Amino acid sequence: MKESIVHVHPPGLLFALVGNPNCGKTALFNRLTGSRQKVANYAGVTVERKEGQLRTSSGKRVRILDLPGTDSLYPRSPDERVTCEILNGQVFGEKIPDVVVCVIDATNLRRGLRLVLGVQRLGLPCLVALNMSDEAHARGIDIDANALSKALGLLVVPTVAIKSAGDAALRTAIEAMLEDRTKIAPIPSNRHTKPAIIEDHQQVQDILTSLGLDRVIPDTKSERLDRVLLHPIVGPIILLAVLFLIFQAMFGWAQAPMSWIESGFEWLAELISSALPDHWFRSLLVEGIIAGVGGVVVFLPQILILFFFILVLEESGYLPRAAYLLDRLMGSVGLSGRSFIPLLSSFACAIPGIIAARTIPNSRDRWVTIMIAPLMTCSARLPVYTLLISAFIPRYSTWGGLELQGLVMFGLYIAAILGAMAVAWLLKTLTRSGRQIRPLMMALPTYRLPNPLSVTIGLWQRANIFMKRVGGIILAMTVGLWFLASYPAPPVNALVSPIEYSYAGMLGQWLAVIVEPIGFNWQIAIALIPGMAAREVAVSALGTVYALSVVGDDIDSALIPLLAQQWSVATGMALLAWYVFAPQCLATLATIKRETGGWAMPLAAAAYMFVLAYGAAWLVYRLTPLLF
Amino acid sequence: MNDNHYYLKAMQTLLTAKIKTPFKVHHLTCDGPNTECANHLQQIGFLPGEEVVVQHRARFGAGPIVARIGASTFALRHNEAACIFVA
Repeated sequence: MKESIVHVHPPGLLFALVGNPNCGKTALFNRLTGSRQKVANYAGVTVERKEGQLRTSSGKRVRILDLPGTDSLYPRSPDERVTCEILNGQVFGEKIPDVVVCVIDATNLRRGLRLVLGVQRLGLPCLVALNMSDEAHARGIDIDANALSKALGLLVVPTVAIKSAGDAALRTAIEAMLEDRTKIAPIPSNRHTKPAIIEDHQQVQDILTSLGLDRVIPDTKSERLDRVLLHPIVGPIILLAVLFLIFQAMFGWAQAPMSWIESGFEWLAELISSALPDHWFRSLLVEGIIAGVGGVVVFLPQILILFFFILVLEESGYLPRAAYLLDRLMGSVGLSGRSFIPLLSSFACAIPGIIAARTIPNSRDRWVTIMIAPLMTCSARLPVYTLLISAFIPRYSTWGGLELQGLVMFGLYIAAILGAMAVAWLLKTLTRSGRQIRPLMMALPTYRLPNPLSVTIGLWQRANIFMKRVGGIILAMTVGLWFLASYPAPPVNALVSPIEYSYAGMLGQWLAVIVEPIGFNWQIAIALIPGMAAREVAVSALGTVYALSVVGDDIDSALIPLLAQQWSVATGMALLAWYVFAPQCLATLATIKRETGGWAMPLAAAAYMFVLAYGAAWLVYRLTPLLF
Repeated sequence: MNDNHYYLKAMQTLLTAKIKTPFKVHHLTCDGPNTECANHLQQIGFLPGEEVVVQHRARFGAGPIVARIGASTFALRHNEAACIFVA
């Protein structure tokens, strides 16, 4: 009797890209498969396996896996483990790759070759892609691919992943293997011999000597930049100045485009109001969708400005330097500089930040980073902050042309960072493992000029994600809230605004008891609930609630002057303080659950953030009247 | 081990090595609870015979150092730098 093997994975040859961190695997993957995976200039951008398809010129399809970078086949962190498990065939639903494409950074041959020897020893057929061969050439490193190929006994092809057609040689090699499978390099003879780091090192040394590449070529450009940017005094000042510039730009540059979008929606609202009869459908369009969705779309320019800076910093190679500068500070609260990049990513959104924590080798560091990542001010808080700042902070320039509003925004970010550090410090003091010394060992990449095209693509992707959120969850929540806030309809001789007779109004008045001590009114209480789905929804919800609260037809579509008039400054400030800390995002909590594999962490995170938020709002609500 | 004793005393680690001066890695020894440290340092390229240069060291306090090994640059904490003996 013959047993048949059940294939749970798709058929066809599987090629896997393996290499050191930050050697350009993902750029090459994007080039081969036409994907648009995120690429940046630091180690650990890719933390999961990504799959794509390459279509050959003859129309055949090959599966390509992009794997997280690693220095050896002995994983240190969860992302490196992914790569090792794939190569060892330990992943359910995925076969061992038919061919491993070892991507090596031509400017750092030594590091790459050690990994190539390791992969060879696993007994997997492989070929070598000598990436960044243009940059190596520019630095005076000329590698004889044929000689290297002979020395390794493997096919070696030069690639330039960031240039169009820079993958031509690799494509040709892959196509040749498809046509004629005997071309797939035979399994090397040293298969499954014991791993030996020192022997590998010696072999690499011999290869480099025989190729005349033994001398160390300094990276003078990066060294010169580091002399300034890593300087013990000048470095931190520059870092602070860069962060400060970002917040100033978010307010300074965004004004004009924000007012265009605002007037666009006002025009649309008026157009619909005059074209349609007074009907529930008009109310849904004007008070529900336009007041709600328009209120969020206004913040697109600010979000794009923030992402512009994040993308430029990511591509330049500056981020790990910032992590280096902050390592001491992070060390004082029991973390290492390694937590910096996941935490910085959380300024965009906590979800990728929490996933990026997979690059942290130490498991305690990792969970502390995950716990405090949601405190970092994500871009979804930006609409809420801007709305409240615009309503309650006067718009004038202080000394040196600094915008007061930008200054307050900067202060909110600082408050969140201090809060996160305080939490980390508490965890350090309360747990025994917190007092051990943390590992750092962080690679500082070569500085590169950001590529305008990839920054543009990155911004386009961001705008897309934001608009999809607006069209999806934000629209849905807005319509749902409009319904709850409009029905049941008020009696004919209504004395107060119609919303107070609705379901939402009743719920709000009931919740107001809980939030009254921190200065929130029932309108805020209503807005906070749909805000759990996505933080920005609170803004659209306030737009809808206030649009429906007005008696008569004196509808002011601009929410900002309305809030300034209706709320006390103390309430506005208390809501800001609430938003700095509140666990207002279910998606984040779900991600924490997935990444930590249990309910303990997400529940703990939600609980401590709620306590912090309630406490901060209470304090601010009491203290603000004393100041003004 | 006794033969090496003399050298161990004369040798310095990356923690104290003169800045911007090329050294060769001699060997790695990690004390204390973190025994994995030496392995990891080897994996990222701190291997005997490799040329290493300390590029930055905080003038005061316990900030990390920046070391160039081969064609890579790494930021290392003090306890990590102290594992790397150079000559």
